[in-house]
Amino acid sequence: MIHLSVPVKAERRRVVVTGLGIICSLGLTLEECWSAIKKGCSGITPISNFCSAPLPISIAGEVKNFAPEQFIQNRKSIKVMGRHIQLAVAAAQNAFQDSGLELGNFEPEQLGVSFGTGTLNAEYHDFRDVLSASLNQGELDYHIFGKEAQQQVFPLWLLKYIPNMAASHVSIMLNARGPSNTITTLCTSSAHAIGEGFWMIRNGLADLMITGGSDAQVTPLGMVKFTRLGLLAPNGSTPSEAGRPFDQSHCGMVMSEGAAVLILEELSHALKRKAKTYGEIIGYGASTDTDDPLEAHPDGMALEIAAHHALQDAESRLEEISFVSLAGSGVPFMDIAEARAMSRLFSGCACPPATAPKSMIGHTHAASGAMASLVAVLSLREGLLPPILNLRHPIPDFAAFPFFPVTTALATQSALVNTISFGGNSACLVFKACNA
Amino acid sequence: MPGIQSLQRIDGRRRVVVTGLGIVSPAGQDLKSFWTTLMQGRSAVRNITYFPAGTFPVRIAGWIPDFVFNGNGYSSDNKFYPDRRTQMALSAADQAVQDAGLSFSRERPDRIGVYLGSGEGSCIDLKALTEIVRRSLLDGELSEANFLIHALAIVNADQALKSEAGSSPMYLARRYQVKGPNLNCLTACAAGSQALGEAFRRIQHGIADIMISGGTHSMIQPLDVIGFSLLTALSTRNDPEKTSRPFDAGRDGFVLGEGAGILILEELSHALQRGAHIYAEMLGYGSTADSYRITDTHPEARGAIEAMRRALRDGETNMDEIDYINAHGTSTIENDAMETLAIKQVFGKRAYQIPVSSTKSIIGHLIAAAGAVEMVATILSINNNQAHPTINYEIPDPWCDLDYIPNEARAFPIRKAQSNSFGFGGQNVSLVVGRFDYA
Repeated sequence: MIHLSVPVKAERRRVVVTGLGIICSLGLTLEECWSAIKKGCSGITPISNFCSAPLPISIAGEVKNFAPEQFIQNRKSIKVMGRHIQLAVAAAQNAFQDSGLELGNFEPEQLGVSFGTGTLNAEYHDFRDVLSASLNQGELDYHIFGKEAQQQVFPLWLLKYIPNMAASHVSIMLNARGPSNTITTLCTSSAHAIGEGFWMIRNGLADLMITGGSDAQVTPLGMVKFTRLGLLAPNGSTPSEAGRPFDQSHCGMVMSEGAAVLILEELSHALKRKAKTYGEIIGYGASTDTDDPLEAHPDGMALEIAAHHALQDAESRLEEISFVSLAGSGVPFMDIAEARAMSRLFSGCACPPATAPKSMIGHTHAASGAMASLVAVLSLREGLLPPILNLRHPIPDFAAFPFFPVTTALATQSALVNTISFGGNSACLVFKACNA
Repeated sequence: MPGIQSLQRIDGRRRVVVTGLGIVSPAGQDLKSFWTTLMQGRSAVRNITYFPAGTFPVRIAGWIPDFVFNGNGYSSDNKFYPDRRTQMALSAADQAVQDAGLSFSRERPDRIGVYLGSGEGSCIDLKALTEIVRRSLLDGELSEANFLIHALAIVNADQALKSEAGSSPMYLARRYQVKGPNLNCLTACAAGSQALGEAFRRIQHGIADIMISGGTHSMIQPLDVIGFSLLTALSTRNDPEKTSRPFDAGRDGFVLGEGAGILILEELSHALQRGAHIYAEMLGYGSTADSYRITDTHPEARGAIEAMRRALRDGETNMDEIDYINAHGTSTIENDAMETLAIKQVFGKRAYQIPVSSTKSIIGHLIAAAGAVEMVATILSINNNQAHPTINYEIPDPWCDLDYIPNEARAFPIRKAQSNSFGFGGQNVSLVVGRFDYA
């Protein structure tokens, strides 16, 4: 069974993107979102889903007019889904439809799910009443709480927030019985999830993977947390100009929410069913900084390693990268670290043009890697590059990178997609245009 | 030297061995005491005194009253001072690294990664939330506006960030200065096993040479206990040593536990070159989804069966090679019957000849950490040719008619073993592990 031989490099299975779904501050459908991105629109507005007046920062990229019952047939299940799960299920449903797959015309064991989601999205509404009932002389009385909680907390409360529930609902809805994984690495979650799903197909563990991520932290507690972390850009006079990645005036990120899903498929499987192919995923790499558990290296050491590994995995040369999709959150120290890492990576050749989807969509955290991947795939396909909004005077570390104020035509071959999270945890993906 | 010359499988995949183990559990906080408690079949479930649980529907847990964190370089006033489940992961990882004899200064840091199945810290800071509610009420009403005003003053954002599920593996990376991939999966009760399976794949396919992997979780918190109680997953029997009784006809729910299990997975030639002690070889991994319901398992156990079959196939292991099964065995009515059915479907008549036991009968259900801690138990079983019992097995259930190693540990040759983990949402993971020198 086990042989003493040099491993022969087996022909690698190739993986293409055959379906896309996105719900974000720019719209509820792929068409809406993509056309807004091409126009260079911003999805950032004053918060309207709750009364945000007391917050010093009250702008965000909210998903507007989202009605889950339009996407989710089983009305009863909507009640046990937190908002991030509703968004994920809706985007997955859209991506599945877009892929031309239909229930019954694929092998369920060959369809898997690999999602990246946010955690800790529980909200104070869930506990407001029980906690006020449990106060005794100004303190939490555990004896009262133990009794009251059994009466007053929604019995299925836990299910609304358990991270793997997004993947679980999707697997039930779309009859996906293959491998299932849920990654929770904060802002790198969905890039990790797409990379892991890609490798599963390449290694023969599935023919089809529903990959991507979702997050919904534009909530009272979510806004308070990020305000207190000191990472948010101030309101300013115009919400759409608050996020300014790589501009000398950059001053923080803008909170946002949404979900993006990519259907990955083994090439011959896709060809056989004559699926439309948006692009090919060819590389994945990951690394982390180790200076502080939750703070990144100022020079973006891990991002450089991750990008390097992704290019190696893709067997791509730097010259083949037609553009870089930057993590570009607008937080000064993160922008600087990323710009430095990319400058070192491309030090041997001309820096490719760059785009930064967060300048339009805002920071969707666990979903951001999937958002950026989706935008990169469509850009490769249509041979154009969306702008970096609000970038006029680049920071010095970014000086070598071309960028565009409006969407610009470009000869496209491959794209590098960056994500960076707390502690410098980094994941990179490489996509390739199908005709390249 | 049989079995160690070949460094690759026939398909070119690299071989992966386990060279270090670390454990923080209710049954012991080092390998020796953990194994002793398991072999004695002594329940490690206790009354909860971690918080006043007198009026809670569930008042017992497999919790660790004497867990002491050595600080690991953090002073307690450091804003990065880790929370309880990260402390447990760090303690278990230190044991595993030492056990493996690893010296990280000799290794390429980008070839060593971390892949954990870590749960969240406490999902909401209950005390802080209560204080916000209290101050809001003093202002007249529990309005959103009042809530926001007081939340801005009270919420500790650093603590919230530390509580994120993905922060535990970051602490491990910093501890050992390892710059490889750093991932966390949170697939409910299957997370620890899933992390091990995914870490195993990375080494197989040449992405890393060493992975620090496993799981950690601590849910002995008021909200978590309430949350699981409301889902009616926990037993409310509240008799500490008698409640967790997998496969017994009187079982009526699981018992929460806390802890961490960390394993060092290493590419075979790397381990041989540095003369490492090899505990076992990781052979196969299978993951599936039931695609049925979010809380109930499939009545015909279809996801569990497929996961077990995938793990066997992946490990190029024949059914008749499995000598022992470490069951998920939660002590819920549904799971134990379903898992029994799955084992019978996979192994046919031979199912009755394979001893099966549940670690949860002794320590309770460690949720995200469960699979990792149970893998440590499984590997120790292979090393000792002994398996721990399923305790509290008193009344046979016609739906659970396998050999569950009732109440007394048993000695028998164990060359290859299978370990199952199933989670809410229909997550199924199965792992196959074997003695290294079997071939």
